[in-house]
Amino acid sequence: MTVTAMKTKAEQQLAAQFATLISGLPGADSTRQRRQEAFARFERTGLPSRRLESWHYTDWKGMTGEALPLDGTVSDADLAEASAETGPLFDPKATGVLLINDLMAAITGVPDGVEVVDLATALREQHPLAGLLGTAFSAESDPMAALNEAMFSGGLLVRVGKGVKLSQTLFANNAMVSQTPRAVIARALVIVEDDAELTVVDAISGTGQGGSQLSTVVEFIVGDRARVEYITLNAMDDKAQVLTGVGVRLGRDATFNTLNFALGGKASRHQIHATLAGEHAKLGLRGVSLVRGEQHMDTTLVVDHQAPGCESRELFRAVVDGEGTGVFQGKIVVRQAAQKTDGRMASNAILLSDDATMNNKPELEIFADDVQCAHGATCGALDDDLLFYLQARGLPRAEAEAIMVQAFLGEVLEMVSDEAVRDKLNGLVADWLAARARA
Amino acid sequence: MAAVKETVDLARSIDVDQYKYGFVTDIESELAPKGLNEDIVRYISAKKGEPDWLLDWRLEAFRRWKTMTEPTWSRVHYPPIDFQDLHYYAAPKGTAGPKSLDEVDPELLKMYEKLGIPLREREVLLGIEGAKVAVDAVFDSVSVVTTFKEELAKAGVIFCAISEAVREHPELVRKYLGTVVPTTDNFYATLNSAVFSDGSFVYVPPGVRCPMELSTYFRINEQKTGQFERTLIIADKGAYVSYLEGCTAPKRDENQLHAAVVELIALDDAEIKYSTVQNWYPGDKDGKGGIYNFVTKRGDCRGARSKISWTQVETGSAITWKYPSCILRGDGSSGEFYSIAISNGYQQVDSGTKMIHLGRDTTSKIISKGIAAGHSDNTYRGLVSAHRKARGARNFTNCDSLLIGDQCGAHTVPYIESKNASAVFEHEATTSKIAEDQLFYCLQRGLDEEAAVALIVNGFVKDVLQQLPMEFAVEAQKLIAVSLEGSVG
Repeated sequence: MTVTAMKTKAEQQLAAQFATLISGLPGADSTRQRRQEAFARFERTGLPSRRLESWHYTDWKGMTGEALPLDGTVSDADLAEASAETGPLFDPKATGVLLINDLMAAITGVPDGVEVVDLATALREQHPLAGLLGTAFSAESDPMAALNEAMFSGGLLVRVGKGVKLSQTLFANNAMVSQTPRAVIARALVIVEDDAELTVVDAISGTGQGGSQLSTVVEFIVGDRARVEYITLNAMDDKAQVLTGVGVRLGRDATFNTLNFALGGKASRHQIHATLAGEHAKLGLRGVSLVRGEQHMDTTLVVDHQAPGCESRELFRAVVDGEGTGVFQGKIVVRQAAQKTDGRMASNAILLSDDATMNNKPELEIFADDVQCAHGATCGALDDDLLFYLQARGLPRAEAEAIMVQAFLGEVLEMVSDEAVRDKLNGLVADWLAARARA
Repeated sequence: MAAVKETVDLARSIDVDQYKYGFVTDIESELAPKGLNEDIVRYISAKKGEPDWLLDWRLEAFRRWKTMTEPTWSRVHYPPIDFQDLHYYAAPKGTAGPKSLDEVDPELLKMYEKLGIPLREREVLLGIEGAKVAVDAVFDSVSVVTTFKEELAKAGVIFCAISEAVREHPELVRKYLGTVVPTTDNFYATLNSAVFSDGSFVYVPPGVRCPMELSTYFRINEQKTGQFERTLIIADKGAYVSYLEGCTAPKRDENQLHAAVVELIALDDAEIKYSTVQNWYPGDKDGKGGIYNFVTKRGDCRGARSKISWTQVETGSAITWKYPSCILRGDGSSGEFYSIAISNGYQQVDSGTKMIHLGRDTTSKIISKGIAAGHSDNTYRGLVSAHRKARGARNFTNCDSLLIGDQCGAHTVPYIESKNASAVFEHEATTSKIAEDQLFYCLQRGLDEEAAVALIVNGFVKDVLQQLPMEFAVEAQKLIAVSLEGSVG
């Protein structure tokens, strides 16, 4: 017996938007064809709800009351505001791209061997690499990835040439600016060719009225022996609905390290789909979530070991306060060919309030026998003994708690190699704790 | 490396046709017509001479079941089950409530002998005094005999077939039946509520420590039948009971359905220890035949400081779908789950537990050891949750998986949900193969490969074996060796 669910208001709005917009969205006929297929795929599931196992703890359908108008256009007023707003991590002197509502607005000092193109332009001009879209984060793997593939209106295409080793951090600062709430669906494709090295900081922040809906998918195709460090920050306003996706495909001996720092959005979800396709690739996924008020923050990972001898390390830490809800779902898949896999995943959460909720689902799915895989998950309050120790030394309760939270998260933030960025992230933790102490 | 290769070769050449209990007993049976409808439910109820309230209860469940769909979330795959192509009641003729063993069909007695149930258990079935394990033997849909009833009655313990309990102790059955697993619980539990045939009933009165181990032995014999037993165990305030169930079935090419419901209720300060050695027919080496074991087991720690402990050794069944759970309702109550799940051939196991912390200062512990060999899939799926009021809840979970051969899969799917800051949950899981250095060490000391692997596997599952009642730990250990025969020895 199959039950066909009624479409929600938001789903109906999305269908109407797609029908109106499809002819104007960037891309040639082949792209349009793919968009249509992707939308059909999305419609089969609709907006994901708890019935879908990979969305077990996040009822996106229920959280999406309506689909806001999809409109990336930037008015002069928006532009003025965005230019003033440099974002929490952006270093104006650095190499970087300023995006407004995920459309490229300004770009400074692109180094040799690196190509940065506006995605809409790349698609219109049939850039040879644009065909790689959807290969690191497949529309088949998730209904929201399908929706993104169907409806994205812009974004970036970045190529780091063979053997190009960038010593400077590249910044992508994405400001969501709008006088009225709207939806932005964008995509980026980053190709790091063999032996290249790249560090990117990708921050999204919101100004204006807030309450926008943002969906992004960033795909990394990492060549043999290439190294990438990717830091993402979600500093959206606390009315926004934020869905960020990262797709990673690693070649032989490639290294990919990422850290996601999440503190924004009323509801947010960060999805990482990583495929270890080349032998001896190394993957490091890390994350920090700071949840308060009525925020709902979800981190969901799928690490797919396809090639032998790879290593993956996942470390995610969440601090949940107020009536917030933190979610961690992590799945390590080891295919039969992926012998000698070494996979380790840890998720730790601290609940600071009795009304806070943490849901953890670390999964192992293993089809190869010669592997070492482990996961650990813990959840609890701050250790009373340690708090007592600090208070006995004259620290007020709030300060003692702050020190412990900073230590707890510091371990994750340590991996950020750019010192200036690491300091700023630690600063964000301190600000969050200070706001908590004031409340 | 040669040693490892040999292990892999052994695993490849695996033969699961070693099932010792696969014979069929030629017993004249009384069968309900195939199919499932309200008349069948009435038929079963009438056969058991049940009161109206129970018939109504069954019919309500049946009507609810018709509106439900089969769950598909578990990691098991099987062709659709035709629920109309089964007999929902099968009973050996002339055994409806034998007064003594003399009235039991000698074929049946021979069968129990042949089953190689531990000797003492068999002595018990034959009525030889001295062995202190009381047995309720359930054959297809009816309880054949329950031993040691008088001695137990002296202690005030009620141990009988559930159909007998409905007649003799209706007030107890009516008070507790369906209060832990309601008729609306899930597809298979609802089906069970409509058509359950027999099972055991235990009531231990306040302050009584049950003087001996209780045990039920389940056997499916008849072709194209489903077994739907229902077990209800109540430990009143301060009582203690230890209960063990075992099960086997003949080798048949078709799949047979077993959908049981077990309800445990522990009142203040009571303790229930429930152990299972599940050895249903697992199917042949090509994955043909075998039992579908879709079971709902749940314990309710209703009283303060009560304790429920599940121990399971799962070696049989083509498909196992089973999550013995504890609802930790009473303040200070505790739940335990110890599991060894071994899959070989084409077996599929999706098993685990739920620890639902509702009361204050409740504790739970989960130790799960999964061993996958051959072409099997072995999944641990578990839930640990703390609700708002579960102050001071504490859980420790450890699930380890061992893979033998490269055609099998081991999976871990824990759900950990905390709604209380003072609840402390820890979960750890590992998956690996038998360590080469350990194997090498044993071989060095002159053990042959099979003995070495068996030793290491036994060490791997030791934590769980220790939880089994003494009488059965030895049997379980042997069973583990047998079910891994051909892959490890």
